[in-house]
Amino acid sequence: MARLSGQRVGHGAAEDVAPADEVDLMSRIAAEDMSAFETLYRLYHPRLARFLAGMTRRPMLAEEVLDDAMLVVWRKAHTYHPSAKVSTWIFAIAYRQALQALRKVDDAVEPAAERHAEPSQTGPDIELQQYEARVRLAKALTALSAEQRAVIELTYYLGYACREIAQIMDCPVDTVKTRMFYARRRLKTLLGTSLEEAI
Amino acid sequence: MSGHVLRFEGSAHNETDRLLPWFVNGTLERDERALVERHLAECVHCRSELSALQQLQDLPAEAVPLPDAGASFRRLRGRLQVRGTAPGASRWQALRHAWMMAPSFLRGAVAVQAVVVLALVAALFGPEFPPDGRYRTLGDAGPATALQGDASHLVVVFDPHVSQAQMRQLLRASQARIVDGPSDAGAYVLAVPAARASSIRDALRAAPGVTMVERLDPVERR
Repeated sequence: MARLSGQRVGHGAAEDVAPADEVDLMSRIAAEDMSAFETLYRLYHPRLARFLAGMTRRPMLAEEVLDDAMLVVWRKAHTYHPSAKVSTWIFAIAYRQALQALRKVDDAVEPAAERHAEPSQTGPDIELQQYEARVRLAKALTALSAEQRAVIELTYYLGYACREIAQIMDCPVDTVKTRMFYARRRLKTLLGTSLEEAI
Repeated sequence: MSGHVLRFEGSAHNETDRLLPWFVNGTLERDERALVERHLAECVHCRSELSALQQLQDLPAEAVPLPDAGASFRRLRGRLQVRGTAPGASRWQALRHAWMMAPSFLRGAVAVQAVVVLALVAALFGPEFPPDGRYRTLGDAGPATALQGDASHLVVVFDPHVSQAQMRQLLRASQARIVDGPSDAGAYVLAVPAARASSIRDALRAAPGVTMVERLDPVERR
């Protein structure tokens, strides 16, 4: 099975920097190398933006959290140990920052579906159907907890293994599976008897 | 969501159902993938669920507009400059990080060198022991210092709560000076005028803040 589609921004998708190079980048950042930091930032920006937007459902907040998380990466680069993957280390920081930010803000803000692009006026019917499906799914996702949305994002759109997600969320593997179990069940309840029918 | 953590063991169907999201993203371990593939071959429901999850994975990827990374980085760098947010690493932390990143054989060699250097420094500048230096117990005949002809020695254990001021007062009143201690047991050896050794001992025994007093002179031993 294909791991990730070309559209996806997962950590296993097309990337020019190997994990060993990422470790080297971290070492240089610890030595205050700004160009290395920019390289790492550009490398992780698409993935973090996708993850944080999906987890928080608030685009503006997601951008703030992304900046805050990368600031932590800059400041704490000297604490990184190569026994961990750079990717899980950075996403763990972003996850914690997002949880902290969400705790500070009121929960009843913008529905994320409003940010979805409108379907093209001249597109075929299937495009309209996909747009409607996306809107329904986006609304359903807002009903999940931030932790459940994080598991969904990390699994389906960023391509992380269950064990890696457990490291990012600093919890046991069974907790990740439990969150996914309840997330899928909730989505089915909100969207219909099965995801397939909903989509 | 419930805070209860589920145990994912049991039938192949249930296990497959729990593992499907990671089967879809291709990150299962080999044995887990084999289990899922075997079950999928015979379960219509799980194949249907698999199809739904694959569509879920493919659907929203194009829906989220991503902010421009270049502009975002320029904004972040501005924050760094405005706030003077240099990395939290001090020179010491940077050294520590470099140490962690170094190969283990190199760290081992440096550690051995450091131990050798410390040992040499200790040998050169360490405390010098007297040639006849020896350890004494409370029952020993006397301290290392030469006994004065007119001095006797008492071993004294003060109450742990006694203050320094009280201790000094007791010593002055007894015309005593500390010549050794404290030992591991908290005992001091006091030199006192030989002529008054017994009366000083009795006075100290009666004084508050003193737990135990004994003479160390051989004549006192029975």
